Amino acid sequence: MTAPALAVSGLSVRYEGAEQRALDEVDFEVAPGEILGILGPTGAGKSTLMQCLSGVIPRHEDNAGMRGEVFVFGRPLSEFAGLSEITETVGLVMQDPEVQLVNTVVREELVWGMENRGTPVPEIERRLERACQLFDIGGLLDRFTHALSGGEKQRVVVASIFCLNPRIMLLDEPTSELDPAGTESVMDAIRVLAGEGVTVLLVEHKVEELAVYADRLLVLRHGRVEAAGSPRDVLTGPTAPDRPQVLDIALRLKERGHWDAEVPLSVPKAVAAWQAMTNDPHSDRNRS
Amino acid sequence: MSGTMLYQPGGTFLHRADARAKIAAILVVLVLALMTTRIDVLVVLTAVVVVGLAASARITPASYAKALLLIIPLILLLTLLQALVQGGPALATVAGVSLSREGVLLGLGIGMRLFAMGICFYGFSVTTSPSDIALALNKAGLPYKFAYLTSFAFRFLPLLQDEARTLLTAMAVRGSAETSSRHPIRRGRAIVRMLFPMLAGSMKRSSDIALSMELRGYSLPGRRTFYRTTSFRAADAWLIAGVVLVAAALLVMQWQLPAPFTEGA
Amino acid sequence: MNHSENVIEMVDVEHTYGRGAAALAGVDLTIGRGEFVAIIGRNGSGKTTLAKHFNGLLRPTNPRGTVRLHTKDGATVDTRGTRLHHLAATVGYVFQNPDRQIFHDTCREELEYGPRNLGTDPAELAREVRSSLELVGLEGHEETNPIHLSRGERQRLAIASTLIMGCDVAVVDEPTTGQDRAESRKILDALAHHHARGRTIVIISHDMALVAEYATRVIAMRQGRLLTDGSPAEVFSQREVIQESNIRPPQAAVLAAELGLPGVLTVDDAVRAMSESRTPAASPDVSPIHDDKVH
Repeated sequence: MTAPALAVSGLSVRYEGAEQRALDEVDFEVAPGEILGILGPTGAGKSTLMQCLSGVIPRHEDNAGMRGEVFVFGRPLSEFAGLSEITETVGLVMQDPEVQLVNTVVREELVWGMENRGTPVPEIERRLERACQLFDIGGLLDRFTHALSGGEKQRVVVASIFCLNPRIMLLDEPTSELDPAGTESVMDAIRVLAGEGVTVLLVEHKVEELAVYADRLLVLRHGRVEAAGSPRDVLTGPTAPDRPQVLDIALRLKERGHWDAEVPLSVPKAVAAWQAMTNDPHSDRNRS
Repeated sequence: MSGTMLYQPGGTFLHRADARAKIAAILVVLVLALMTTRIDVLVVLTAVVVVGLAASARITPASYAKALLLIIPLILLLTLLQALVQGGPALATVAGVSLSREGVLLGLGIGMRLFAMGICFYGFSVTTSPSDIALALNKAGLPYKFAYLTSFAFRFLPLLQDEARTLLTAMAVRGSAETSSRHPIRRGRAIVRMLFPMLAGSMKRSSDIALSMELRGYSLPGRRTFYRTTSFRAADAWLIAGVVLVAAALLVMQWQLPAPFTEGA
Repeated sequence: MNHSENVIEMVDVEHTYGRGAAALAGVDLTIGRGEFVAIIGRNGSGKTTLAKHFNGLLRPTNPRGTVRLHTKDGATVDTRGTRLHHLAATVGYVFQNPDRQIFHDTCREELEYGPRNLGTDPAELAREVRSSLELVGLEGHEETNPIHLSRGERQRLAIASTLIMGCDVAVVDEPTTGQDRAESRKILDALAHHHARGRTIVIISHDMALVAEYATRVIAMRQGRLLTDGSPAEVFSQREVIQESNIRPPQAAVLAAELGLPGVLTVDDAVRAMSESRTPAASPDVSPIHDDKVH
């Protein structure tokens, strides 16, 4: 049996001076190549969790008291020599793209991390090309980073972490400033990466995308894991902070006795289910 | 909207030239300009710089004319001062005050000197990307960690500029007349009001910036690769040779030709 | 509400940044008093550039382009010849990032800043501050330091401190970016409260579900031009136009359109229409059940 890509056990965090724990006895595992969506209201501890999984807490934040352990491919994070060793496996994209763009031109931004690592130039070129293709940023390479739109900045930041070739990617709201079509294209890229074995943890409010792209969902509230499981189980459950509209519609129709198929997570599934339900039973009813 | 930066990417001769060669060329022009006050030499130098930029980087005088116009009052003031202070034969006498010919020439000479150096720096910043400057400094022996900071500054100055502008605009759209006031104290008040949120924001951000840099291996020990290497090519040698040639010609001019406008002396 | 009365009139507005392509390529648009307008479109389609023309933050770069505001007292102002702070009393603008527009240590001072600039009577101010905070759901926060509020709450504070100036129109740029569903609703509810009191609201948004639910008019943009303009139902039903420009209507509307059920914008609409389509109107055998689990 292979070790989980990430395993969290008894993880608690309390910030200095705070009365409540930001994270409270959090346990979960993520398999290699899995996309785990993390949902929860503002202040539930989602960003704190991402910081623990990347070693930023406790190594960079000194005002957060942490208990418990995070295992990366079976090895406890506390055994890693430093943040730089952790980043060889775990890539973190933080919320604000502005603080993560540290070069003047997009091309330099993308190669900068690889240069720091001493990646050979042919390899840099290969990954650069791949990043452009995956995240649709080929046209931005010669632009100034400060002159990009918010959505473009987000795509460049995710791509620049991808370039470091992490086996685990932690993405904290990577599409907040992207329009729906742009969001979908980033999600498609994430799916491709997961298909190649990259493990992705995705903090996201956009539940309609999570429902379709995530393999599993985790709901955090007040620092605790409130629900975890397949998107269907979590989103139909009572604790879902939000639901895709089609699921909401189906659940309400079900209560009225108008939906007897499996509840859908996407529009095409809803259309198919509804047509199957209305065509056959309809003709039944007409016959009787 | 976005802040401004002088550098404009392009593919001209000067864009492709090695930053070290460009820095060397600038130094030659600088030394030359500071060496002489002779107006004829400086006019020729300025002309060479103007023509050189137009030919090697397609930078036309129109793109920097505005900035030059701004320093014209300064030059006129300088010229007037020199005309009053310097002795020698008078060029003209206005209301009983004699204006020294030598002083006028000296003032205009200093003006030309400013022109030549200013245009030169402008050409350098337009054609050299901040990271190339960093790279050149690194090649010249400065550790990458410090050389990188020059390019880092170019990344964050526009950001601060943007932020300042947004804050001032946010005040104006809430009816503040201070931000566009001509009264220095009222305008100053707006700027002070803006500084606090801006500084608070920068402080909060700088820790995150440091973290994101660390997460991408800044300051990792060990060898760093350079994706873009600048190599000193034949063309760069030609650039320096050309500049040195011009310098030599101008020096000959300075020493061999008689100074102009002195026949009345 | 008098819909025939216009508050903003734009004629042939173009805007070009520097030497780049035109961000606005000739826009004619009027906004009526009391409308709740949502401007939608992809990143870079010109939404923010358009919105910044409404109060003179940007001015047309073509000489023929004009933007005129009709103020409450019947005057007409051309934004081109008017200083920004004089337009503030007519059109308020809330920027996307609340942290670049909040510069005081307490919510009360933050709210007082605008009215003081306009010379509002200090005696009235305390009452106005209280009711402004109430309208955006921040009652009791007069002495709170804004840094202790959540980002969503700061967004609502920014909205309140713009709307307290009594402006006829509030332009709000992407108010729900990065907010969870509950907070997004609070922000839109705050705007809806002001709309109900006769304000004209213009928002820029990517959240089509909220647009469908709150806006009375939707303007879709593409490449610096108005693509389509109408009620949410009209705009979201133009499937070809919408698809071509990569705008995604809310799932409820897409689902209903696929099923051939007209006039559906929200989850409520869809549930109603789909229930009706399964139970012929002649035999209403199902009593309405109200289910509000998810907000």
